[in-house]
Amino acid sequence: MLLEPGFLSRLEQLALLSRRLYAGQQKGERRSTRRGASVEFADYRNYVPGDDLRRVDWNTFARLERLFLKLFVAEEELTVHLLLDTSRSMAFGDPTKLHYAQQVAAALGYIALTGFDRVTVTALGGSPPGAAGTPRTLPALRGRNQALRLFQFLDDLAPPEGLGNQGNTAPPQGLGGQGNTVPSRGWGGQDDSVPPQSWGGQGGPPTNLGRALHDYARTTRSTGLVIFLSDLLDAHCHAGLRALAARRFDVTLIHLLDRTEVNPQLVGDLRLVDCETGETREVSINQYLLGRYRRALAEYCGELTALCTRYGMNYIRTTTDVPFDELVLRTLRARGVLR
Amino acid sequence: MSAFNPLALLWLLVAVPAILLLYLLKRRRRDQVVSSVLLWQRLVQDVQADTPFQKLRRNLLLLLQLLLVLLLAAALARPFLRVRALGGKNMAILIDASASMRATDVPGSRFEEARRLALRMVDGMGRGDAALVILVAGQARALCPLTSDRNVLRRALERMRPTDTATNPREAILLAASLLAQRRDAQIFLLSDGAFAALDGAEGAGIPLGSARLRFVRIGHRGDNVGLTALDVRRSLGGTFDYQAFAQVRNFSEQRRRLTLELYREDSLIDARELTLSPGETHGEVFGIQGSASDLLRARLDVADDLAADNQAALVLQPRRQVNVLLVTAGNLFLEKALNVDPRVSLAKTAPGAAAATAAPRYDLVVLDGKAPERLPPRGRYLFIGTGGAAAPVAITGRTEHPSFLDWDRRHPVTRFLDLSSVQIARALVARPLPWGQALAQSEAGPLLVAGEKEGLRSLYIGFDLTESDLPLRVAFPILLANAIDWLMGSDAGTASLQARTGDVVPTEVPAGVRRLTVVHPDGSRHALAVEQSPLFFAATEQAGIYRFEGRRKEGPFTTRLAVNLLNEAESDIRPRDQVRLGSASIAAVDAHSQRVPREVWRWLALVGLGVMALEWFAYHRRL
Repeated sequence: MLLEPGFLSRLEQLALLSRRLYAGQQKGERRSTRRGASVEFADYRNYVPGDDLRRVDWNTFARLERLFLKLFVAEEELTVHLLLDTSRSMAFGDPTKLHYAQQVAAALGYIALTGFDRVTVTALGGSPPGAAGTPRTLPALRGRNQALRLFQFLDDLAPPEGLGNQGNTAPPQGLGGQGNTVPSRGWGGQDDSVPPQSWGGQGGPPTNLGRALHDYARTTRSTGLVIFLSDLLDAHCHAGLRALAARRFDVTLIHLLDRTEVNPQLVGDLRLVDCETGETREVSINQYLLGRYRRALAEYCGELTALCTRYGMNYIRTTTDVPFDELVLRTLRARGVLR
Repeated sequence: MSAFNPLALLWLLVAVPAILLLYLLKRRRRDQVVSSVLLWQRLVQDVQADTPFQKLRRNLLLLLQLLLVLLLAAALARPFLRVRALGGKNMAILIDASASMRATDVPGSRFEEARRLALRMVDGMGRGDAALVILVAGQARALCPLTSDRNVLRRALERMRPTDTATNPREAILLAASLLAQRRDAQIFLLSDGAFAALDGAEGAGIPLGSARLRFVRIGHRGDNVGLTALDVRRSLGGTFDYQAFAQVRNFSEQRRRLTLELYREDSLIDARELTLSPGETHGEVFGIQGSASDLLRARLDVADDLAADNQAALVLQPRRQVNVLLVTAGNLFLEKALNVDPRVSLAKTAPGAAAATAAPRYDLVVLDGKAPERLPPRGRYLFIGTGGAAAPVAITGRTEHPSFLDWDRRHPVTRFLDLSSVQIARALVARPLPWGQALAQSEAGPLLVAGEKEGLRSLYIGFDLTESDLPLRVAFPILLANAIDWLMGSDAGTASLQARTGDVVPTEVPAGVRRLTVVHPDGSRHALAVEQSPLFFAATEQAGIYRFEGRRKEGPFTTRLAVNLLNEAESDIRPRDQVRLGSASIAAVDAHSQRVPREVWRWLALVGLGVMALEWFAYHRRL
């Protein structure tokens, strides 16, 4: 169970904020870019034959003897795109970053459903059986009664199998020792002769977050609110984020990091193995190097912040040891994502 | 290059395989799966430029460690280089500063050569080596304490000056041995030409060297020298000349030498003799001279040889002086005759009694035969014969029969040249010397001859009546009397000349009333002396030549001269010796230029090892 029932009832009082107006597909409760039926006056326009006579402003006709149509703001639904990064790196941490992302996505999705918005969930980097590399998508849901389907879908998400996959959804504790126990799958550290860049058949390709985002932005029909949950540990994610911005999505980027990624508890002579690509780096870790790591991380986050500021995205960084309900109820409200 | 402890290199056999084994056993890097190496990659990129260098870097540690082990093992082996030098851990540098070292057969002089050599030894001293410098002249003088400070040693060496004295190596070696006692690896270097009286026999055997090793570093390479070995003068008893001068010349060189012996009175040449001397020949010349007291007589060899110090000698003629002697006796023919024979003596005679005591202060010498007055002036010169008295150097305790001379001091001025062995004595006094008395001849019952000297008083005691012995009939008697008068009168006795040897302590008579003297040394330097007593004991006779004493008294200025000469055959014989004898052992000369001393280099190896270790540490911690 991703969310507690008591917590769900608290979520019902919240609503997602959109900083832009989007045209929806069905009637809803959001102001749309379209003109339609509502109580809120928007504009006048000249009458053309064929217009509904009920919408003619007769008071104006009486004064000016010309026909004008009274236009009202349409209220339509908003599409909320929940994007989850399900790459293998998300399986790290205790609790795993993926679990944390699932909880946040469930909460936000529930809020959207109760607010009569359309919710789509897409797992980027996840791979359904047999279709390696393609995103898994939950078709658009609407209405509170669809919440269970949403939760079900989120619950089933798992990072792709392959290199250094530490027991699926189980929190990968004691990561270091387990790499060698995975037999015959991926690199496992047993066969050093395979160069890291030549892909074996079994493991999934590393998540190319940038490409996945780019594809998503290009293929999605309805724009709207995008909430992207990821650890963003991908060198190409900038391009993907720019593609989202180009289609005028209202993007909220929730950057999830594990405490061990912010403050690595590593020491000694190590060979670091990338859990996605299998790339290795030999390092002798000392305080000096850890200090440089922290600086590199801060620099990386600074680049992201700059990018988001430039394209009008909402950038929220958190670590998984911040309780997720605090993130939802406090941080997201403070940052104007929720009301 | 060799090593003191080559076995230490065996450590390599242990340490190198150990390091290699550790490298073989070294665990590979632990694999650590991380979510992404993206960030690590960012910070590693600039450091991890290229992999081949990275691999080399890993091997670099191994190479550095092997190098370190090699250096440490090499340091433990204590390798050394043989350096061309004389030296040791603890050295005493004995520098001969005697007259023979002024020979100019080496550039500068032998003394300068010794100084250069010693400076080189000091420069070559290793860390922790210590040395001291002793100047060997008439007396040994330590110029600096045992020190590792090379500047102190250099200053001491640069300060020292040569002298014209004889060499006293025994005292210097003793001093060095005592200063080096308890020191490990101690060596005494005697930098000398070996031109000194041999230290064989008892004198050399008695030198305790302790653990120190004596090495003789020979200086000089030839012995081309002709020198004056004696100059003396005596008064002529008759004839046309006032004085007779005797000069002895010796050729120490290997060739025949022709030379001129010149004799000057003050600055005028009065005689010259052409001499031809074959190698090793000694030749004496006698000159008759007219002269007066206080004249300076100077002999000079006109010859070009290596040592100039012995080509001159001088003396100051002394005036003849009367000695007024009061003989207090009841009648003693032998004594009277013997005193009258001496040309210096003008004799007065008186019977024992109170009159003798009152008359005594007017005479230079009072001879008391058999009976002495109760009271005598406390200052004066007295000869007690068969009696004691107020001024005698003994206390009479009794009488004895038939004593005989057992032993006597053969070097004391009073008893030298005497043969007292068969003197028969019927009766003698038994006496105990007073603290200021010195027994000169002993019998079974006690001293028979005692000399004593204290403030203004000189007295000699003969412990038997001359008429009760056969001494007056023996040759020894006039000699004893002449010696006694000489000694009792001191320099007043009127020796014909005044001269001293370099290094001697010379008693110089100073007229009453002179409080301060200025000494003008042969080299022209002047020193002030405070006069506290007469005679003044003057010890600064290190240079040969004429010393002038200038002072002032009521009557006017006062000047006296002192001639100081080398006149030493051992010093004039400047041939460098191949060995010196020390007791029964003989120490061969070492050539200063062929000696090599080991100089340890482990400190440098250890230092480089430290550097390699720092480099290794640096390489290890910068590695990524």
